Amino acid sequence: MPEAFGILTLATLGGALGVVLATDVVHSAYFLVLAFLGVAGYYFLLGGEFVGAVQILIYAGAVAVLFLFAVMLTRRRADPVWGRSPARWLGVGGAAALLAWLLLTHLERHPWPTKLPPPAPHNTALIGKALFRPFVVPFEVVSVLLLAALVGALLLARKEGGAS
Amino acid sequence: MPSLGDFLAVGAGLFVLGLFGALMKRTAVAVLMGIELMLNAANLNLVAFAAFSGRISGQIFALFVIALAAAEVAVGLAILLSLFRSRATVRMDDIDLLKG
Amino acid sequence: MGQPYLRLAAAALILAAFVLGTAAFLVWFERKLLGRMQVRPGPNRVGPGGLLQPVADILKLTVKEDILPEHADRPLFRLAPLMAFVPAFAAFVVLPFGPGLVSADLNIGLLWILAVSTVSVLALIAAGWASNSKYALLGGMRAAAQMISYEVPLVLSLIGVVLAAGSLRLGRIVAAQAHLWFAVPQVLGFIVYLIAATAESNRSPFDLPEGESELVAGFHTEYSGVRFAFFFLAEYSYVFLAAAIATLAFLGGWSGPFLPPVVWFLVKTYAVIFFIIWLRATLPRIRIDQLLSFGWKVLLPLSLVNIFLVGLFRFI
Repeated sequence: MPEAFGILTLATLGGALGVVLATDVVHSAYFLVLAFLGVAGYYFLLGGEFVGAVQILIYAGAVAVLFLFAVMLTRRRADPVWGRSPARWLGVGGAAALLAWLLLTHLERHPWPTKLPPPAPHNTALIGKALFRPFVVPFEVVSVLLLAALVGALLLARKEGGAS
Repeated sequence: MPSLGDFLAVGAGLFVLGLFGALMKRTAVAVLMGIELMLNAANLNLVAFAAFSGRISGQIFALFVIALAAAEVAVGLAILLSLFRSRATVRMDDIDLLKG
Repeated sequence: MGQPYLRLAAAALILAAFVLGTAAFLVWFERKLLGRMQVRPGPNRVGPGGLLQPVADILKLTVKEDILPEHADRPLFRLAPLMAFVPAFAAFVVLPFGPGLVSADLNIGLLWILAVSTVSVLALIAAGWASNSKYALLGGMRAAAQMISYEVPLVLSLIGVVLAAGSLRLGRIVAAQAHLWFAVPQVLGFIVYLIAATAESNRSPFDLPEGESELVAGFHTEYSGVRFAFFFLAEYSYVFLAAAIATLAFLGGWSGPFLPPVVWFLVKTYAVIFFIIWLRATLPRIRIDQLLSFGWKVLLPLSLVNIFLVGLFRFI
């Protein structure tokens, strides 16, 4: 398990770093997929195999393809982060470094549990029951929201005045 | 054996990288990618807390976040496409007028 | 410590050999069947009945020159064939060939297969994009539009099965069909699944991403040699996977009288593969706009009706 954790950390943070540093937006998109898959791997490691599979299905399968479509339908230009002004580097880099320092030092101080309780044997069934009993209202709200987003995205992406 | 803190540290790293990307990138699509990274970081924390506390609700929250993120990306990219159609650009620096 | 890794490595090796062997056999099977259906002998020179033809093909492909097109996106171009094959292989890991005959018995087996096989779309887009060729790019874009559109009815047609079986574990789904195959009460779902799965694996009559009369060879126009072989391998792996899922989810899996379960599983799977090849020999390719509107306006409502009916019968 430590080996798996190490590999996943490498994939996730390496992918995220690639998203930021890649000059070509298409490469960024593929690094993003690597990060998504790494996060899905963590979910499997944590015993949440349903969430992990959904992460692969939605993020790596659908969201990444949407990103690629958007990149290919718009004009693509090189977008290197090192081309930004020194003031921006100082501001954003400083803020990010400060946030990282704050989070990590705070994390270090707390005694975190190291023992993972055994995952529930019917994890997926539990999720299903929870979705339809205590969480049924948010579930329905999300489904309405997804429908609204679908209609809205269609309306926005349609060519104006076009028949199709 | 990694502890809960290790997972949270990875989440923190992912969040910081996403924030950095969202603020440093010029292309709007890349900015959206940074936002997705931050959402994933939050999700990782939710699932990690759920697993270490032995409860299921964190996973449910992660599922909701995933659904919302999918909707957000679809609408965001649709806005981008219509923007590209009217302005012929997707660089964030060129889009700074409130009134078109 | 070393024990689970050893077991994993052994399972991976056996699976790799099986996938390679299946793909090679399917190449021969398809060419031979197509030949017979078109009243010609098909491959018959290499080996008995042309059985060694795939071996000759593989040999030819491996010694061919590996061409990188000019101005191609090199890293993506190199990565795309692997990206196409690895998800197919990952899906095989949870495929049960008989009771207990599975490398990793995930309790979300069906969802895992669906999830990893969507990742292969990214490979087709990468291949189309990185080739720096208009035919390849058009093929890649078509592949993306087609696979995303048909993913929806595919998943929805399988939801009926999951609803009836009450589990995502493939073994449980097979066990739930002990008395009656799901293909009987869920004919609608079965038909939708077969059409959508054929389209998902980019097979004729839905082979628009590589329609040779309009796009040369679609997303793999610029590929040659070993890299081309990987795309080929991935395509045949998906054909086998699609047929295997049809067998497990609708045709009662490995259950059957007299013969051992593995034989039943393979017989049923190859019957479905035969049907898919038969489709290719019979139907002409359809147009891309017809394809997309058929998926969204016919298959999607039909699969929803199927779910509604299954839910209704479970409720009563």
